[in-house]
Amino acid sequence: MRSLTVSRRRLPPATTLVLALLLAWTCVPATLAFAGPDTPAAHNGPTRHGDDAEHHPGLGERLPLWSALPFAGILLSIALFPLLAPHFWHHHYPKVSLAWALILAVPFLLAYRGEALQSIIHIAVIDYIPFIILLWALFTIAGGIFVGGALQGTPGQNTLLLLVGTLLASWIGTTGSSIVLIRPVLRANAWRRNKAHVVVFFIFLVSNIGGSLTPLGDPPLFLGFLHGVPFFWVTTAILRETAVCVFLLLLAFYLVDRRLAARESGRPAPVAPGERGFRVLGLHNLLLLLGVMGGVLFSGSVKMGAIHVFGHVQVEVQNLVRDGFLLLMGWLSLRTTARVVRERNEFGWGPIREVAILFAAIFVTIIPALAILQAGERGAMAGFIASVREPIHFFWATGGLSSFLDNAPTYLTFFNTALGSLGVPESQVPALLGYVSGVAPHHGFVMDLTAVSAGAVFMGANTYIGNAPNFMVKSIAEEAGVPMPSFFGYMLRWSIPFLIPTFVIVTLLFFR
Amino acid sequence: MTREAHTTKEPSFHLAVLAGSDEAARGFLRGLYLGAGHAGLLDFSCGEAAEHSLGERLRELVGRCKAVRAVVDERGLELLRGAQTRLEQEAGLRLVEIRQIRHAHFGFRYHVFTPRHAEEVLALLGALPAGARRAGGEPVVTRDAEGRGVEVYSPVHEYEAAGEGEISGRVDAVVAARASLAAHALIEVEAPQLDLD
Repeated sequence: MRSLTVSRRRLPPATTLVLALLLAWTCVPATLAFAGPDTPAAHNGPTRHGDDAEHHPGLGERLPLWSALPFAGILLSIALFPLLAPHFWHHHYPKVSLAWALILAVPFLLAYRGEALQSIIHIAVIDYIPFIILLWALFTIAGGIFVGGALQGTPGQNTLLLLVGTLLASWIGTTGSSIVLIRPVLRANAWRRNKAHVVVFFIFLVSNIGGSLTPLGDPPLFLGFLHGVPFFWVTTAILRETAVCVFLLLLAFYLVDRRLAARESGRPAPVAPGERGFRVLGLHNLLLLLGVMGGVLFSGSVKMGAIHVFGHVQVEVQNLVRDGFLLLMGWLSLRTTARVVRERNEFGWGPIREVAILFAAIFVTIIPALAILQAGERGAMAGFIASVREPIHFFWATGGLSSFLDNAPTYLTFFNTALGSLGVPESQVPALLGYVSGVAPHHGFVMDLTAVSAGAVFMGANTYIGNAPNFMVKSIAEEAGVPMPSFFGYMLRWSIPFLIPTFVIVTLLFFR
Repeated sequence: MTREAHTTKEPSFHLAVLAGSDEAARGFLRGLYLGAGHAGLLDFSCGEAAEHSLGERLRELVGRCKAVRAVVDERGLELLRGAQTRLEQEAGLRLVEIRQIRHAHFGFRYHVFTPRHAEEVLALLGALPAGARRAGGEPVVTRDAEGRGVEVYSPVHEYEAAGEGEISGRVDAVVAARASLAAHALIEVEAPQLDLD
């Protein structure tokens, strides 16, 4: 037997030095290139969100296309390192994230000074901090709910469990729903030899598509909410698309599971007399989830003024109240949930730590890409914006990228592409969606945003790297003895035969 | 690996290729064995000829075999030859080819993520039937103390054991070993390869 031990080791000093020199080597020419003849003095106001872009060339009109390279770099790192160098990535992803953030931030700050600093503070205050607080609250509360009982892994019960998880995902998030339900599903199917398909459809429905109906369900939709999309817009906007996907996939799952269950030679252990089929511990956390939803709804419906932060960056008071309330809900969950419930869920802070570190880098590096997209026809991505015009383009372009890159930044990218094509600022989003009395919705934008939302949420299921819970579910299933398919096996045997035809049907029905 | 006792004549095994319906062939031969009270080796795979082509493996996957390759023992072959007329008239099958099998072998691999599963696999590999021998298959174990717990973006396992190897030897022992390993969800076995006379 050969034994290897992987331990956390500091990078050798020579490697660190080489990395630092590489960073500097990248930053210096980038700064010089940024500070070209078109770069104005860093005194302009905040034009990232385009509200005063009409008066002078905004940041997005001046930034070169290559300034989005660090953004591509961090997304590709997240996609490829877990596949190609999982142990290196596990031990060093904070350093890799920091490197990408610095490669963008250092020359950006040197070239654009106050304007750049304002952009970074803006995205930290308006996007990053509320995003992390929401995910932390949902993760903490969902981790306090334990589902158990004598489930038997029959096709009917499995289909019901997937349906429950799918419905739950929009309210506690796809990660939360996956954490709550993957272990009960695995326990129920422990007696079966053919069970990898159960986990695969779990990833399709619970870890992805189920999160499509509220901003709490999937991070991209919460980013949409933070950028002006009303809370319940998505509930009605992609209800039909979600219903069609869920119906077709549950039907396919039931048929596949029934066929494979018939081949099993073993039988589930009989249920002990008096043991109930379904048991939930930490049920009071559902009330705290309602509190989270109430807090988010509050911030979307009440105006309490704004507090000045830096430059033109302001934070609205109702958002601060919301964030404080979400922290309170999470704290109450920690205080009131029995320790044994979290132990049974193997609850830990690892996932939130990962999200906090990686998204810090994503949100810093996404600044140029968003600014360029918001500049629309006047920005460096005018050709791209011109080529993505119809809902079908938005659905498949967002979905195609979300299949391989994280879907939250992908959503923001195409959300801004849709806005950029209209040349309107973000503040007009509620009006464009028909949420301002007396203003008719902009049909084209409604269709585009529906397609972007559906593409970002649904197609994260296409690969293991499309959405964060996919890998988590795979990893938990493998430790439970499920022979999960490889990266390409997952695509060839499952996502391409089952998901792609489903998305084609959705396209034909809704996005033609 | 276990030594065989050579107290009697070495048993011989044969490959019989039957053209026709896959289900009819399997049903007929099983019925033949049961009717004669014979409990010897009987193993099936999809294939028109002695060599197992990629196309045949694909057809087997989708349940569309045009012919079936049956591995039988000496007594099974006698039963099959004795029933050749009924085979054609009653089951619509045709005996295409008979070849003696010298040895058989198959490849296997596993990748497990808990010590308990590694122990299960090693126990199976250590308890092969007499007449089957293993080459390779020792686990390469990777431990990463920081892999404990749930991760979403950088998942690694605290424990991994992986190995691959080959089982070869007398046909009945190899077929039994393959069935035993294939019953474990975390062991992947390849199709059996037959060394024919």
